[in-house]
Amino acid sequence: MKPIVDNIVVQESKNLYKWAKTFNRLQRNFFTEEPKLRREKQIEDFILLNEFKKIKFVRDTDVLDSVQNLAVLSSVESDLVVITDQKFSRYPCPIIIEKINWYLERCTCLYLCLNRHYINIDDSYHDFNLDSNFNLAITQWLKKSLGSADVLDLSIDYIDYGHAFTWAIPDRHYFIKRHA
Amino acid sequence: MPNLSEFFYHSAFKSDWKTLYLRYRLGRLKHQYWLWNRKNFKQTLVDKYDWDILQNCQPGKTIFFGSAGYYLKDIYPEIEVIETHPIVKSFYPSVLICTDRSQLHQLNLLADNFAVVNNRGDHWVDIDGLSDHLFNYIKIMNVGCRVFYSFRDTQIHVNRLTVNLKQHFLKWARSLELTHNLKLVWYDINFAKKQPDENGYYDMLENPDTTNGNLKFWFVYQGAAWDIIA
Repeated sequence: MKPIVDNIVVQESKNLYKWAKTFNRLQRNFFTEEPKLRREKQIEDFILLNEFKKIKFVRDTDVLDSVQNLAVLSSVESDLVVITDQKFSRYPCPIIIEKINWYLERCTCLYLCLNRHYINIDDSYHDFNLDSNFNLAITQWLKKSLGSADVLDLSIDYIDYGHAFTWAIPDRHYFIKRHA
Repeated sequence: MPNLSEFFYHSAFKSDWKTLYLRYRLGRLKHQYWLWNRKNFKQTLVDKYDWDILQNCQPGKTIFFGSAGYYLKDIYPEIEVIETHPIVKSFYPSVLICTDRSQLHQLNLLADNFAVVNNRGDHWVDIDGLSDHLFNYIKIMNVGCRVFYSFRDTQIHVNRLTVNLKQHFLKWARSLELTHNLKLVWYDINFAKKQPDENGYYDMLENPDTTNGNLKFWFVYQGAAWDIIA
């Protein structure tokens, strides 16, 4: 093929995604009535109904605005750490466990949201004894790896066909509490 | 108490042009090149991976499917561009629209080069779903067609904890010779190599090449392998 222009510049492939910080608002605006995300309400109500008062939030987009009055700067002064940041799921599996333990050393309770699609992102961790249901396998891996904590899965078991709000709030929800 | 939504279909989408465009735009990162090029008369940008594809095309009909290939058509007018979103026709009238890939054959086109570059519409299936897509694509290929297929591992259904992902996708690609007459000629499987930096910190990035997909497979349909131009 012959080009019809003579000023072609070949550019190294680069990341062109640029909506991460406002993605939730952007996505909600696609609907005739702005939806309230069920999984966002689940976290808000978990905080309210369990009377957590000082929360360390680790977010990457515009979610959980209604409970930001409870935010504290440091996990050490919090009674609950809430992680919805997608990027947390992009650590290698052993580092995810290391980071969870790091938070649990500073705060007894952790509400962790993981994006299933990023788990084991580097293809370096395999445990062939885990369940064939990927959602359950993630929970089993967490329980197996966090011996000094209780792990409770609060998620919905479903196959993701790209119709969920996973890039606003990740899909796998865990309440993790350090043993006394 | 507001209505709670877990899935998109619990709510109705707006149907105005702006919303349709933004929804398309969010899923078509390569559209950025078209936006850049139409305002820049000094240089015409081509993504390196697309360039590699073009260097490896053979004479004949070249089709880009669901890959914002219209930015390339502005440079190489003979490229046929097929998109699945009708909104594309509103800003690029010469694009062909096919909302259902099983109807591709109705366009009466036969490709000698066929590219699908990280098409969001190909995602959210397992490898059998990818195979189904390819069954539809080969229906519009000439014998000897060169096929350039890439996608992201993170949006394909697979148990990421119990499956060796590299082996999984490579085995699938190789299996297509038996099932689809697609002989694997070249591949690039690129997972992040997460290593701590000198301060012990890990990057939190996605797998490489979110634009083109980190899993790239080139095939030939019922033909002989070609010498790859790197």
